[in-house]
This record gives sequence, structure tokens and C-alpha cells, in this order.
Amino acid sequence: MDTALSPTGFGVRRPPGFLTLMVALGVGALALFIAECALGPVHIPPHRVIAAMMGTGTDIENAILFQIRIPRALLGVAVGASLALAGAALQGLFRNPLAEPGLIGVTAGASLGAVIVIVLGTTLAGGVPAALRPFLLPLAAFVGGAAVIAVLFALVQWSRGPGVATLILAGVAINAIVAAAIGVLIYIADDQQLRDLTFWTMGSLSVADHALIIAVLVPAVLIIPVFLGCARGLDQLQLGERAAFHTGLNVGRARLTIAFATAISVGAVTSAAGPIGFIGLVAPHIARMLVGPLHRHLMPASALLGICLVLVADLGVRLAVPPAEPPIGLATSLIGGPFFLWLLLRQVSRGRSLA
Amino acid sequence: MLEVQNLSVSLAGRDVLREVSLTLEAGEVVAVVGPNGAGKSTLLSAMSGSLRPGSGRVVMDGTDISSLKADQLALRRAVLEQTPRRDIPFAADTLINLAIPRQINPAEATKITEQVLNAVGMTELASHSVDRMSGGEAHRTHLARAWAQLMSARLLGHPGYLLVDEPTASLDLVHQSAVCEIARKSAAEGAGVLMIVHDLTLAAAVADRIALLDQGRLVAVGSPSTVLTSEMIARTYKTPVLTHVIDGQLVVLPQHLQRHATQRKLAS
Repeated sequence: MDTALSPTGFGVRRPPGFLTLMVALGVGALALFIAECALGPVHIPPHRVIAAMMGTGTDIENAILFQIRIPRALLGVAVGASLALAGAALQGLFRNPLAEPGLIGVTAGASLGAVIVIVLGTTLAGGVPAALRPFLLPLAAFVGGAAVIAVLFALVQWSRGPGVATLILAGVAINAIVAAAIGVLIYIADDQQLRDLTFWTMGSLSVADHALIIAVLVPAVLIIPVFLGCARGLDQLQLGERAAFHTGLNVGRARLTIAFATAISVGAVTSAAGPIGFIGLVAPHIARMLVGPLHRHLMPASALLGICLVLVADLGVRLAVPPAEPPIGLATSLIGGPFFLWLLLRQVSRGRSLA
Repeated sequence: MLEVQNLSVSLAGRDVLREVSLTLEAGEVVAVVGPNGAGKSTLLSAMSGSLRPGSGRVVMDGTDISSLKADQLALRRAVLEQTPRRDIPFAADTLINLAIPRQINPAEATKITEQVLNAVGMTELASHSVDRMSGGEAHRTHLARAWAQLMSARLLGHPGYLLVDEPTASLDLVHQSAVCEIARKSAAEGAGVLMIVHDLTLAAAVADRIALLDQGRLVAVGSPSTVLTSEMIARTYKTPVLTHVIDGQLVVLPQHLQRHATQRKLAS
């Protein structure tokens, strides 16, 4: 592939087998979605899952699917796509292969926003109309995530394009600060809030509140076209800021759009599912190996891979030790942690400086 | 016409450019020369629209460029930065395509890409990733990128301006002359080309006019033979030089280098 030219000649080539791969990933995601609905303490065969979705399910099937499993699977799809797109976008934005919402503290910022609402919510929500209350949690998470991105940006500008490590170290600091702040909030939380928090901070797709799931799905889905619309800008940013401007990119606006989209998507899914790590690292990297570095191919492939990864991880934790259900965040970290180490070692072994 | 009118720029409290006025006509090559720190790159940044001048303005085809957005500017001028990034994960032809505006249809874009790759001798490396290229190869790719953008501007009906910051520094002799040929060819087709050049002999060879900058001021502008006199160069660069005309081409050499050559000749 390296030297052979495609018949279309010189220019932007679609990677070989791109469409096939996208269809395969789409089919895989769909199959996992149905498996997520079918498997569990009560087994519902796939054809019954589809029948129930068509409106011909029994009462029990309907109750299990529409009350529990479909909302959960939908949240899984939103989490996977959002985190993968956010990861791909942050990596492109910072020109940093290790940028990931969790590692650089964006997820932590979103978490802090969410925890504030969980613990102080009843006090804060007094002035908010009931219809808007489900949005309070995602909104707070968005604000938290956006604040962290703003801080990171200020840092990057101030240090004039830092090395790969600076961003990660900043993430370490932000994660520590946020952990302390969350610690304080946990300290003042009551028993019920504590139970909510403990489970939430490990990341889980089992969200009973359907209003919240809708409040999360809407922004998570609406922001996808924004991400895809940033693809060319992200490509241009790889040429460096100056050349990006010279080739016609409004760099300031592109950055703002990418940061906004990232904060929205990370904030939305984190507010509902808690901090789920490493999807934003693993999915874009696998996608890059499969379809190459151009964002118009990378973004959609990452999103589909992210969906598959989250659904696989969730199936894993649900089926590992039934009826117990370990948090999905544990599974993604178990896969993602070693992956991160491998990337780090690869970075070093290629002679690239981290500083 | 790209016009610089009474341009002054201060960076970090230092006056980098002071009341510089210069015009770049469509169809000509202007070489900007001057000692390090004279303000050459700052002038180019201001002309490209990436730097807002403290006072004065830059007018492109009748429009103040501060009123043009990034994408509108990109349709009218192309820029080759002094040190374009090498750690870019895209293949050469993909990189070039990123600089071709979307107003150009894909078939045209392919044609342009092929042409510029050929002109810089990179056709065989078209699908190689820029981050695995040598410095010279990467620079040639970026040159092709800027040229492709210029050709797009011309296809879209603009005269097109090519602003190049020290294009020959990392290139060998063959490719240096390729750069100069691209500059000449673009000018012949009606574009305006501004190049920052350190090698005065090269500047004299490629440019219609030379603009000599010193400490932020435009000291002289005019044809190579009127600007690049040994007195003027000696005064600006603070080192004595000798100028010769060989076969109609101006050659500039620092005097002490000439002395070495003479000594070697005597020794042998």
C-alpha cells in the first residue's frame, strides 16, 4: 500500500477496504447491541428482541427490554461513540497521540461537575424548573469538562506547544485536584448520595433514570455531525498552527468548536455513566491502524469501534460473575491501562521525545 | 497587487518593522534580503495575514487583508513557512490535497497534485508518509503544497500570491534551482511571488526586484544591480563584499572568502 497508487491517482485516497470495514464494524455494533439486549439473567433470544422492538413482545419481554436493557444498550452506544470521537478529536487538536479525555483530566472535570450536582443537587435544583432537572447533571458535567479543556489550552499556549508528556502530567495534576475536591464532597455526602457516588465513580451503564438517559442521548447524538464536520480542520491542524491558517483554517474557531464538542460529549456521557476510561485512547488508535490518520476516515471508524468496545466491556462485566455486576470502568481500565503502557513504550522506542 | 502600506510591527516591546512600504505586483518575483533579525519573516507574516500589524495595512487586490477571513485569504495567497513541520502523518499527496481549497473539484485537484509533485521531483514518493521523509524531501513536499494552493487560487480567478520564507535553506543545488524555477514560472503565469532569500547571488538570479531590509526598515528596493551593490551590502551586513558580474549574472561573495580562494590559488 505504501508505494502503490490507487487508480484515482494523486490525492486523498480512501484506505483500501474502508467501506467494507465500516459495514463490518456497523454490523458488529448492531450484533453487540442485540446481544446486550438478549443476554442477562433472563435470556431473551435475538429474534424475540427484534420482535419486541417491532412491537410484538410479551409484557415480560417488553418490561425487561424497554425498562432495563435497551436504555442500557443505548447509553453504551452513546458512551462508546462519544468517548471515541472525543479521544480522536483531542489527539488531533493537541497533536498528541496520548491525549485521552480521562488521562488529561477532561473526564475528571466532567465528573466533578456531576458530583457537585449529585451531592449539592437538591440544594442547587431548588431554582431549576422540574422539566430541566434531568439536564442539570449533564450540564454541570459539560461545564466541568469545558473548564478543564480551557485550562489545558492556556497551558499549551503558555508553554508554546509542549511535548507529549506535558499534557499528560497536567492531566495527572488535574486528576489529583479533582480527586481531592470529590473527596471533600464525598465527606459531606449523606448515605444515599454516598451509595450513588461510589457506584457512579467507577463507571456503570446501569442507569435507572430514563429522563437522564434521554438528556444524555440527545446532546451526544446531536454533536456527532459537529465532530465529523471538524475532520478537515483536524487534518489541517496536523500541519501545525501556522500552516493550518495558511491553508485556510480559522484556527481559533476550529479549536473552539472541537473543544466545545468534546466537552459536550464527554460531559454528557460522564454525567450518566461515570468516568469510563481509555475508550478514547484505544478506539482511535485501533482505528488509526485500520484506516490511517485522515480524520474523515478516522472519526467514523473510531466511533464504531468505541461502540463495539463499550458494548463488549459491558457484556463482559455483566456476564463474568452473575448476578454480580462489576462496574464497566474496571473492565475498560483493565484493557486500556496496558494499551496505554504499550503506546508509551512504542513512543519511546521510536526515539520520540516525551518531554 | 499586494501592497504593504506604512507597516510597523512591535513584538515584545521591540520595533521589528518600522514604516515599511512595499508593493508586490502580479507577475513579478521580489526577493527580500537582509541580515538576520532585519524583520524579513515578520514582513512575510504580516503580508500573509497571520500577523496583525501595529499600524499600517496590507492591501491585497484592493482589499485590506485584515477584513479577509482565513479561508478567503487561502484562496488568494499561498505561504511556505520557514520551518514547516515534518512530523505529519499524511502521505505527500494527501498533504498537498489539504491545501487545495474545496472549491476546486477532485479531478482538478488530482491534476494539480500530480503536476506540483512532478515539479519538485517527488512523484515517486507521493504516497510516502511525510514523517518518514528526509528534511529535504519534507521541505519539497511543503513547497509543492504551497504551489498547489497558488495554482488553485489562479484557477479560481485570482492573480495569486506566493509568499516563501527562505525556501532554499534545506535544499540541495538541483532543488534550489527547482524552487527558483517554480517562482519564475508562477510569475510568468501572472502570480506575484515574494521570497525571503539569504543567498544574495541566488536572490539576484531569481528576482525582478530586491527589497533590502535592515533593522526593521526598508533600506532599498529595486532591480538587483541597483540594490545589491557592494557598498550597500557592506553597509547593511557590516562586512565587506565583492560583487562580480559573470555572464550577466550578479555574484556576491564576502571579501574574506575571496581572500581564502586567492590564497589557495597562490599556494598551489
